[in-house]
Amino acid sequence: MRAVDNAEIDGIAKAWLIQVVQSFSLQGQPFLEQKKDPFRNPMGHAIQENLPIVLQEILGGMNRPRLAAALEAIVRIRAVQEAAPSKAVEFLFQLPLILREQWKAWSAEQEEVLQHTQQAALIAFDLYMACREKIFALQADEARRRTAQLERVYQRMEAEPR
Amino acid sequence: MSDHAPSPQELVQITYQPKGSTDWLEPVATLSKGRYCYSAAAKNLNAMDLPNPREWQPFEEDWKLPPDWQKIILNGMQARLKKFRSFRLFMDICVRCGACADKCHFYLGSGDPKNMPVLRAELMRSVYRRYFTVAGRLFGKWAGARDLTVPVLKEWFYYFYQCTECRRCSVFCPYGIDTAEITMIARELLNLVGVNVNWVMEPVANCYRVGNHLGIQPHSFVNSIEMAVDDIEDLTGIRIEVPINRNGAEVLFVMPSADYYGSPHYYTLLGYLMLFHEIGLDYTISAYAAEGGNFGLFASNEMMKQLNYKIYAEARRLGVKWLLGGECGHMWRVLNQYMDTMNGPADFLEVPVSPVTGTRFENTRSTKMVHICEFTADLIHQGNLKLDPSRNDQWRVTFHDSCNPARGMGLLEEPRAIIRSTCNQFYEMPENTIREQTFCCGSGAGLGTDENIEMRMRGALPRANAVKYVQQRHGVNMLACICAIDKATLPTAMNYWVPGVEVGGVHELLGNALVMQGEKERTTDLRSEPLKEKEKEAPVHA
Repeated sequence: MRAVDNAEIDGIAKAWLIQVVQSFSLQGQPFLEQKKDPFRNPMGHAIQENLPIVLQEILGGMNRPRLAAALEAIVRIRAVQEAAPSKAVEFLFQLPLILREQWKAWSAEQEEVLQHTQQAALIAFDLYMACREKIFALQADEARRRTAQLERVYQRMEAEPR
Repeated sequence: MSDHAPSPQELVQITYQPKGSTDWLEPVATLSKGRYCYSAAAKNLNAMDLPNPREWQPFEEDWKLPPDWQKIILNGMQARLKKFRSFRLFMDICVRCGACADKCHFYLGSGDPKNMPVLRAELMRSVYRRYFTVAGRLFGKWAGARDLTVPVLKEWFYYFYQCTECRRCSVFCPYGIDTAEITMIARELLNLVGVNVNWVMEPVANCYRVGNHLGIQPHSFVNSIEMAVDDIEDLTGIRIEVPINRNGAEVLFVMPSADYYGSPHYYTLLGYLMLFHEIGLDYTISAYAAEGGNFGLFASNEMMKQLNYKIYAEARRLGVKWLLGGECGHMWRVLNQYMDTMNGPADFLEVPVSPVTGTRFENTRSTKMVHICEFTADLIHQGNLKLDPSRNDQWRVTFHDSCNPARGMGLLEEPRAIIRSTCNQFYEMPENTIREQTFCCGSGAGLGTDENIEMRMRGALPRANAVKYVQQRHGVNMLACICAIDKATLPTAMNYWVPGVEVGGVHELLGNALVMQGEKERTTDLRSEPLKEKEKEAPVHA
């Protein structure tokens, strides 16, 4: 595969970030892109931090734990913003278009990058599903907790002889 | 200051209409599930004689509004503009400087521009301009005015129930506009035509009828307290007494009802009761004033007043001298900011004086009601409690300032003083996420229901993000707080965003650390979890 230097990765990452942020929130775009403080801009910060990691892994070694952790930070946010999985993981499908534009000539060896993107997308779908399932489990858990002590009271009342 | 200074070339290209966006004056077309609460059941509106009781849901096309709904809302708006000077001022004074724009947790978690406090308020201001200002009447859209239509009303419902009235935005407003009060008025107006949510109205109806949010009957309340007494005996070997409805006690203690039916609230209740026993407080709790929480605050000022009435009434009936209140958020907004003017003056009560330390709580001269954290921090400060912080060594603690006690009553140091004395490991979250700038849990003001969970998780992102920081840096595993809604909803938020962080009350930590006279050696904490073994002392070398 063609070696990609850091400057090139930065350029691609920047172009990707703009597209991702655009698809996340139109009017929040400058804010998401520019505010660096992780506490003033948690969503933007998560994207800014993790998108370059996703890119590095797709272009490079495909270290799955590192890739999954970076994807997870983004998908976890998208899972409570977009109920449709196609929307939530859309950002990965934006990458090949950016690469095609950036690289112009699309060599056969770069097909590998496409495969990596597809693998990353599959991981992202799984993560999305895990997040949604977690939400349903949390809803049930919360309902139990809300009256947990009351249930104990009623159990005691039933157990005690009248 | 912006991190990015645009060049002159960039400046001339600025458009005020972001690419692909719609005009903000156009109401949102669809209300997405997971981002709103279900409607109030007719039985709950009937219970309170509220207008337009009917079966309907926000996802249905027809909301079954009364035929003259527009007139009702506009008349309601006019009446409130006349009655509340602050409302008129907040409608007129905003210059749209944007200082509040990125301060809302819902905006930070969603990126939805209508979650910016300024734009959320504009949803109402645009209607105000159209009907109550000359410019709006004459120039309509060009003056930022719009007609009150059904889609606009639906948009109000959608976005004014995406505000937790936490008032973080108000901290940053150079004019001091209290956006929470705009939300309050919007909800009052919606109530006039029967557009309200069940998670607010059911607790209101239950509270009105029985005295607490779940509608727990007095005998079940007594059973809950008896169970707590049994649990304390199992833990400490001490059988304590908890007076209920006792005439002539010095103090009436009022707590949020979740303390005696929910988890992890219940462990906070154990902490209070152990403390009162240990200092020999002459107190009583009441099966009538068995709810400090007041969801009337999320419905209308009249409702809040009605539900709050029982506190002073019960204090008078029982002949107590002053009031003590438990760990709760919005309960304190009502007690601290509104109670004395709504249902006071409490001239039949005395200015609270701690019977143990003799401290006179001058700050409560008007309401005669002391926050439990003020009371306990004073006891600790004066050296009246024996504490063993090592019993909390299983916890690496951070403190979440609950919006209402922090921003509403300035209760910032007292809970921290208690935590520092009862825990060996306490770590603060970053400065711009605590104290006055604290981030809301994302579930307050009646939004903490399960059907609204996506919205709540978005709203909780900024808080969770700060917790994650101290988790990664210091291994924090306990988020302490002093609000019942926090205790109900933050466990869910933590579990989603920062697994491995539990949520607990400050008085739970106190109960763990409190060394009681005559107690047996403790082997577990209040949650019945084994205590962390103390590290063996290093051998002394000669």
